[in-house]
Amino acid sequence: MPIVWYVVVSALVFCIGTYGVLTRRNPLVILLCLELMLNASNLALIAFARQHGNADGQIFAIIVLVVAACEVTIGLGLIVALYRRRLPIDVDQMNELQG
Amino acid sequence: MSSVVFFVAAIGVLAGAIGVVVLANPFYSVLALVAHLISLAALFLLLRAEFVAAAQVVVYAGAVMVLYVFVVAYVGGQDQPVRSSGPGLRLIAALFGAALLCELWIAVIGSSLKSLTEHGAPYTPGFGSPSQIGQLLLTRFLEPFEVASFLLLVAAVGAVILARRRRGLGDEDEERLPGFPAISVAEVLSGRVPTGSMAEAAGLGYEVGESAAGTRRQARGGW
Amino acid sequence: MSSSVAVVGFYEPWWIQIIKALVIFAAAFAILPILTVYERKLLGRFQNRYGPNRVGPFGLMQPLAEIVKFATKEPFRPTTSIGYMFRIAPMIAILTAVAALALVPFGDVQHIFGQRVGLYGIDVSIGPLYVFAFAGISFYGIMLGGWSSGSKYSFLGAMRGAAQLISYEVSQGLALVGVVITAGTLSLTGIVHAQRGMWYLIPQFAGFVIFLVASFAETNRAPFDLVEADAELVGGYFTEYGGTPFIAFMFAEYMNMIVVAGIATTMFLGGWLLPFGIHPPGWVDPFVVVAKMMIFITFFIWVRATLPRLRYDQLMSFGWKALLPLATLNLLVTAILVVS
Repeated sequence: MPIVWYVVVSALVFCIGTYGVLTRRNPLVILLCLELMLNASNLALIAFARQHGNADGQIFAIIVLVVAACEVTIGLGLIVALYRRRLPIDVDQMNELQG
Repeated sequence: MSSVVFFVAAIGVLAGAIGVVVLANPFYSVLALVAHLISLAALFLLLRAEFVAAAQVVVYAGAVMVLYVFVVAYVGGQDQPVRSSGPGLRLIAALFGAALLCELWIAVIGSSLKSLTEHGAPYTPGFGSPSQIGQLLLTRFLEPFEVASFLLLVAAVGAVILARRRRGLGDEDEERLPGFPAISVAEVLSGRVPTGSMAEAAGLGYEVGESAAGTRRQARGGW
Repeated sequence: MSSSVAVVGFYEPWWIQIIKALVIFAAAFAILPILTVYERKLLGRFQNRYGPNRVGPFGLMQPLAEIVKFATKEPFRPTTSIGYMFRIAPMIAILTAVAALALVPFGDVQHIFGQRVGLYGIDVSIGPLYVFAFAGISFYGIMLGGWSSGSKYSFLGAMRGAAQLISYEVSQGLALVGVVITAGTLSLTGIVHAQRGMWYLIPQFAGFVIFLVASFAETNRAPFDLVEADAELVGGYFTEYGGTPFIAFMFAEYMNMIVVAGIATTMFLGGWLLPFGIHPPGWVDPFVVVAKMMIFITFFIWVRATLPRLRYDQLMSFGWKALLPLATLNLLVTAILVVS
C-alpha cells in the first residue's frame, strides 16, 4: 500500500476526534476523543518512519503513548474526584475553578 | 494480501473512531475505542512497527482502557445525550472538523508531500524490532526517555493525590479495612499470612482483630 | 546484542503454516478434555476419593458425556443481558487464548519431507510481548461477559478479574524480563537455544517463583480464583452462562493454563532440551515439551487442592506490596549481574 493511504486514515481519525472533543459534554468521552487524536498522530508518525526507513518516528510514537497514558491517568483522577464531590459529570457545568 | 488487510484494518479504525464520537453510552464509547486501537495495531504491523504495535495493545488496550472501564463503572455508565449545549456549537464543530480535514488533505495531496505516493523505503530486517527501538531509546533519545519516565512518575503521584478520599475515612483506614491487617513481605516469608478462614476466626491461627474476637466468643458460648 | 538478533526464523510456505496451525489447534483441543478429567481425578485423589470413574474406562469418557450434556442444553440468557455482547464475550475469550498458544515452541526446526518446518506456530521478534498483548485483550472477554450479563454477581466477578489481571500482569512481565535480559533475545526459540548450558530455572529461580505465583492469578486458578469465587459470587463472570458459551469460557480458562505452562516451560525449563546432554531425535521434542507442561499443570492442580482462597484485599496487597517489589528487585539484580 502506498504510504499516503495511512496518512489519509490518520487525517480522518484526527478530524473525527476533533469533532468529538468539540461536541461531547461528558469529560470521559472527551478524553476518549483526545486519545483518538493522539492515535491519529501516532499513525502518521509511524507512516513517516516507514516512508523514510528510519525508526525515529516510532520512538516519537512511543513517547506519545507515554504522554497519553499520563494524560489519561490525570484526567480519570479528575473525573473520579468530581464524582466524589457529587459534582455533575459535564464540562458545560464545570465553569467554576474552586478547589 | 497486504492491501486487503489494510482496508479491513482501516475500516475498523474509522468505524471505531466514529463509534467513540456518536455512541451515547460512555461504556460503548470505550469499547469502540478498544476496537479502534486493535485495528490500529494491525496498521502498525503493516508499517513494520512490531514493537509499537505490541506496546499499543499492551499499554492502551490492556491497561489504559481498563482504567476507563473502571471509571465508567464507578461513575455510572448510563446513557447521556450526545447533543451538545446548542445546535450552533454542533454545526460549528462539524464545520471546523471539515475545514481541518480539507487543510490536511491539501497538505497531503497538494504541495509538499509528493514522495508519499511511493511504497516507502526498502525494508531492512530488524526495522522496528525491539532491539532497534531499545538501542535508539538508550542512545540517541536518552533524554526524552528519561523525561518520559519522570512524567510517568509525576502522573502516578498526581493520580493518587487526585483520587484520594479527602473526607470521611482517614488515611489509615483507607489503606486497609479496620480489623484486617495488611499483609507484608516479612509475614509472607514467615508464613504468618492471615488466610481469612474459619479456623482463624475461631482463634486457632492468626489474630484477626476485633470482629474476629467477637466471633470467637460466640463460638465458645454457642456450640 | 546486535540488531541481527531480531531477524527471527525464516519464512515457510503458506500451506505449511496452515497445516501447523491446524495441528497445534487440534492437539490442544484434544488435550483439553483429557485435562479436565485429569484435574478431577487428581483432585479426587488429593481429597481421598476416586473422582469420576463411571463413564468409560477409568472415567475417561466423562468429558464426552459432559460435552453432549452442555451442547444439548437450551440456549438462554437473562432478560437484563445485552444480547450480542453476551454472545461475543466467550468468543473473545477463546480467540485470545488460542492465539497466545501459537507462540509456544514445541520443538526446533525440523526437516520434514525436504521442507524446513519449525515446530511452533510462529516465532516473532517481540516474543513474550505477543502473549501479553493477547492477555490484555482477553480481559475484554471477561469484562464483556460480566457486564453484558446484567447480573450483579457477574459484574462483581468481572471487576475483580480486571483488577487482578492488571495487578499480576506487571509482576509476570517483570519476571520474564529477567530471562530476556539473561538470554539476550526476545525470540522464544532463541531463549530455548540460550538454555543449552543451563536451564534458567537455576539462575533465574526468583523470577521463576514470581512468574509461577503471578500465573496463578493470571489464569484465575486457586488460591487466586477470586474472579469466580463460588462461595461469594456463585460463578463469577460466567454465572449467567450455560450450555456451549459456558464450555467456551471453561475452554479458554484451561487453554490459558496450557499457554502459561508452555511459556514457563520455554522460559525456565529449557523447552524441548533434555538435561545431561541427551539429544533425542527431533520428533521427541514435542513430547518433551508436553511432559514438562504436564508437570506445571499437575502443580497447578496440587496447589488448588492444597491452599485456601485468599481474601480480596490480601490478593491486592500481596500483588502490589510483595510480588511487584520482589520482581523489580529480581530484574535489577539480574541486570547488574549481566552487565558486570
